Amino acid sequence: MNIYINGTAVISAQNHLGEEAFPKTVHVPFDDHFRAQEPSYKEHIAPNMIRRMGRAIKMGVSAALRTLEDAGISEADAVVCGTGIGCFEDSEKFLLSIIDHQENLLTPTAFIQSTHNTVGAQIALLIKCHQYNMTYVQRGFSFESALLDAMLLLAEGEAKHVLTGGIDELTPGYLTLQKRAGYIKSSAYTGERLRDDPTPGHYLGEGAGFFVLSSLQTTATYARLQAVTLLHNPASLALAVNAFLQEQGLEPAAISLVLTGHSGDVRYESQMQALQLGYLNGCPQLDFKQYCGEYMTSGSFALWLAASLLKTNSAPPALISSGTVPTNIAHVLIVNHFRDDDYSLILVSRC
Amino acid sequence: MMQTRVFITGSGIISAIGQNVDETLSSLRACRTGIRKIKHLQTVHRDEFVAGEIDLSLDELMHKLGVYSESYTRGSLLGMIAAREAVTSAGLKDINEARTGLISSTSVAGMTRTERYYKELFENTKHLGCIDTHDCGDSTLHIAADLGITCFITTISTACSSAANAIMLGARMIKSGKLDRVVVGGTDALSKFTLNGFHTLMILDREWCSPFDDQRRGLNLGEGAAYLVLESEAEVKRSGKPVLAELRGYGNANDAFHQTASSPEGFGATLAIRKALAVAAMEPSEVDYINAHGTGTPNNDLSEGTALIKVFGDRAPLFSSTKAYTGHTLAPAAGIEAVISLLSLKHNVVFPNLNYQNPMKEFSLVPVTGLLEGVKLDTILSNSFGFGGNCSSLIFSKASA
Repeated sequence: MNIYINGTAVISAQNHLGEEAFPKTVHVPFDDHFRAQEPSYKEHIAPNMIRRMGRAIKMGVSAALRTLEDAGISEADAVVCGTGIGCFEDSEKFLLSIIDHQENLLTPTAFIQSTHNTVGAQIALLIKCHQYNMTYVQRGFSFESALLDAMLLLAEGEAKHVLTGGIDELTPGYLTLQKRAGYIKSSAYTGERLRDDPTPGHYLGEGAGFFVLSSLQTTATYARLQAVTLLHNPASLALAVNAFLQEQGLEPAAISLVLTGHSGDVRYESQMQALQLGYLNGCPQLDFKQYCGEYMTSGSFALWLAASLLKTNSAPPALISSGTVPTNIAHVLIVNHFRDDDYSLILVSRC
Repeated sequence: MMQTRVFITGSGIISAIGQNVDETLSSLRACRTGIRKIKHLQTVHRDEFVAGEIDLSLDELMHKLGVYSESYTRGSLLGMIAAREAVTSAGLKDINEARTGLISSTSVAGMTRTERYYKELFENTKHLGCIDTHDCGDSTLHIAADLGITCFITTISTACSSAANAIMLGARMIKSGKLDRVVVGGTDALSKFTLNGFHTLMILDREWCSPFDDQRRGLNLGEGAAYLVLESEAEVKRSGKPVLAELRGYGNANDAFHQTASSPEGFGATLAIRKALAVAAMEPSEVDYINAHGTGTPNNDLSEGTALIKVFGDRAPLFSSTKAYTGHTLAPAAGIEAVISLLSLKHNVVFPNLNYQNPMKEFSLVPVTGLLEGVKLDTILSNSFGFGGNCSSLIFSKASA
């Protein structure tokens, strides 16, 4: 069966408030992390809730509700979320209060919001969706697991419109800890190609990307979500990509653009580099983490980008890392990975 | 579409009432609770609350498994113990001879370790490894590595319904032909984080919990892990192995009422049970026993009881909550109760709802309060409801392939 992306919205380090699929000016953070440019929440969330909610919840709920609007629907048949670290800000807050107050005189708000299913739950509450509700939390597979589940729901006929997305937030504490663990670059990002970076560490990012996946094509349809696969520690990424494309009856030459998840951390890039210089060498490529940073659900940013490029049938040359994108964008392949363990392939095609 | 049946061929469990399936059965038959004074968790509340804590230290858990590394959190170790038992009992020798996945679940994740060293993480390098074991995916990766599973790995976190959703996804992956076999369940260790969290919500009972009792005061926390091995009909036929039961139905719904409270009318619970019955193509009257979520909080038991009346009318089947044995183990609760349900099916026994005295004034539902042996049990419904309105129900039936 065909599965369509009928709506999407994203919150990332880029400014997405304009009309264009991608802002005319690319935002370079000149910092060691990509903080999301948060939209105004007041159109979608009540003021008292905005004050109470952690950023992951606000970003997730806001992106989800904007996605429904974009798809021109007011309700969904299922809500399926993915998040790598969940509501970290609330977890930190409650944990610190436990430590600072020796487990006494605590208030429950941060605890209530710290559970990983909070974003999905709040979406269900706000749109009164009593149907299927799920949250995936498997590092670099969190968003992609949600996508697989959403596709399964559509194939089963359990749902016609599934609201699905990925959310992760960065907090000062999380950033500091990631630095102490040696995962973050010691310098600021200034716009260079991530694939060429010879140093360890990545630039931490955050964001929320949501989608309405449907079994029906509408006037709002962006693209067709053709296939998703998760690869845990693949022996050869190139062979896996080859098998994936063959299953779809495609050769690398048919791919108009590859969205490559180079993290910029030289320690984890050998498979990606081999693929980029070898099997997919002839394909135009775009290193999407230059625009959103590295986080466990960065695949949701990549899918938003793929859907937007396919809908507008244009790829701003300034974004492209290598090659020339053909005039007609037919298939976009996303090759993502998290720390050389969790690889995922997503094929998105023009309708 | 011709759909395969999904069979359960193995189970594994560790909780406060036993470190394997046999010990669990003995405790249940003896109506012996595992909820007692807290011994291993370092908390200022240890004399204030009781809990279903497993009487093994972190070192003892590692010793039991024969693994020694700081990178194993308590949740990972519990998960590995239960998952190993499940895989062994299913007789899976070569884990990758068929497409075999792992779908685990957790809500506490690595917090047990993070909460001990959090401040230190910013001050010295001694426990920096915590940063890599904090997230939910970590325990699943350890369990997968221990079992040698690489084909499909994911983790679900929908609060207290998590393991039910892992079991459900496993069944759907098999039915859709994406997997032949899948290890499904969940793991959570007792933590200061959750103990204090539930305390701030004022839903912890300081004494033994008493689900469905009119005077119930709240829940007792527990810890544990439980996994099932699910296999497709074709896989079971190929191997010719005996099956424990068939997973007939599953339903997932959302109460969409409140972040931490269930609706008094049990909307989400009713919907989840009805969905599970629809998938099983069964009438409510075909359910012989319900292993209820029954946490012992005023809110849950009222909401769940109301849902049971909505679905089953005035002819509710036998039901009991086994939370007063194990405590509420959060994410793995549905896995633990699935294993208990399989024991009920196999031995035709209903384990009583402990500590029950007074019927709830809102309705006439009365749980089973004494051990019932020799009951004809063909089909069992198991409920799990969580924060965020996540409600899931599972239906298990006696079966042979």
